[in-house]
Amino acid sequence: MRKILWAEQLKLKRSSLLIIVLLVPLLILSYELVNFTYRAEFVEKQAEMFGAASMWMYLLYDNSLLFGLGFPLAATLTASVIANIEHQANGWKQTLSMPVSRGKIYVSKFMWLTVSLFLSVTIFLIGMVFLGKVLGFGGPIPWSLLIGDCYGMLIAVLPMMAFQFWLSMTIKNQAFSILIGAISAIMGLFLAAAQTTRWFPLAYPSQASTVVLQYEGLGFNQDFSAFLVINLLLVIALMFIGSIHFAKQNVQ
Amino acid sequence: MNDQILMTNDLTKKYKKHTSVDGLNLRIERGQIYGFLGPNGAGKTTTIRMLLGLIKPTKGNIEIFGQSLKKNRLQILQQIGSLVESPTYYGNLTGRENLEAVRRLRDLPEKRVNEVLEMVRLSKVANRLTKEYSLGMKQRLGIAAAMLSNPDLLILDEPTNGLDPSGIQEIRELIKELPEAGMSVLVSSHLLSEIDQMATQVGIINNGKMIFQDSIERLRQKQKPLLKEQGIKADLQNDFLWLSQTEPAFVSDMNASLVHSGVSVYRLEEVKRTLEDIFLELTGTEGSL
Repeated sequence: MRKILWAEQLKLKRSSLLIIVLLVPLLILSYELVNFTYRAEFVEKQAEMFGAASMWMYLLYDNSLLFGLGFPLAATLTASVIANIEHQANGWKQTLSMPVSRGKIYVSKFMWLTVSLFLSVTIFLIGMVFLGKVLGFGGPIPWSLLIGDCYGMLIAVLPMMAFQFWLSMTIKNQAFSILIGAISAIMGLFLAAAQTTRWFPLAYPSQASTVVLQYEGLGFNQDFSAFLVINLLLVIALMFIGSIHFAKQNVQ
Repeated sequence: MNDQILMTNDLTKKYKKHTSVDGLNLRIERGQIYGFLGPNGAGKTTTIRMLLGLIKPTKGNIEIFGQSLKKNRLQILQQIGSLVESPTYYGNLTGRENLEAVRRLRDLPEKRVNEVLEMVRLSKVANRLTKEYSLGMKQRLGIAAAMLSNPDLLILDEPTNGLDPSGIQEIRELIKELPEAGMSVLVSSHLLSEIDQMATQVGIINNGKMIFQDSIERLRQKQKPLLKEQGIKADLQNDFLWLSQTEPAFVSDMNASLVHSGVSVYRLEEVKRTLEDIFLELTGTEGSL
């Protein structure tokens, strides 16, 4: 498995992967920077109205919708880039006629997808801490909320990642999988708005913030742990089905 | 002597109603260069994809190195190197990195990369991105990747596609040397002249069916002089007298008797049927474009 991982890692060299990994965190962070400086007055008023315990909490709440929309898109694009390297190289027939199990190739590419997005949320985490320090947010840094918000998002998109990855791997035309991913990300926002449909996995990313607006104001997300457990089970199931289907496919 | 390394029985692939490969019985022995010949669309590539386990046959079975491909695919692939149709290249990587990716996947010694680069004469451009490579260079890279693992059986599908004449010559020489190192080669082509110059064994496929499979010598034996079956009897066509025998004694006797009987002979020429003619006759004309 290790040799496959290192072979796959080499294939990602000089690809556009890094741009996509950086794109979403940097876009959201620059939006928040503008928001907290040019609209500082409004932001402070609203934070007070929502009863935010600190500006950190308000930041986490404020970016949850953008992050919840943007990160599934990042996952879609990253999955597409990783799968497309092989499509573009005409590589399937070579890679899959090596003495290596197809399931392992499928899983190792998915692992690089996960690592890439792990990097993306880590950059976001560092960026948020940096932003808070630069803007002089009061109080101690709420590490658990920040870390939970970032890595929780990664777990929240896992099922969608697995699905998008399968689409990108099995269908050569990447426009198709990207379209599906974009629709899913937007659907997630709508699904999250209603009481019953918000339990649909597509709706998790936009609800995966550790800080949510409740009846009494900003508070901790009570459903967070349920989302995580459901998602971990779902991703295992989806990867299992996906890799079996992939291994049985005819390679053209 | 009869050391078969590849054997297919009744290998068939159907796509809906269209039968792409029909009851193929391939036989390849160790140390052979097996020329797999057929017009475009005859089923060569489909057959090769089945041999590599990339697509599943509709019917029939494949045995390589005495093992069933269905059951021991990974062990068999360990000893096979392959190039299927258009070559694989990761454009974002250099030639060397492309081979390095294969090397890592197959867990081979690092020095092999330089060895195969040397073999296909890509050492000079090894550090350039492969998206800048010419078609011929990409093709060589594909051949290099196939040979990287020093396989027992090398499967090359149209390896000389896109190469210039000197490149074709080089690759041909390279392939011809491989059996000395104990390698067996299956090389497909739609060009008979190509196969004629390197293969020891020939299989001709047309419309998915094997129509000839034997040594290249047996194929050449079909190259007998025209109208031999008519013996001394000659055939007059468009002012040419066709004879079936070319032995010097026979020809001079014939010439003498012709001249003696008052027929003026201005030219004696031996006309052989070309291998192309035999090929076209075997495949029919429908397949040729």
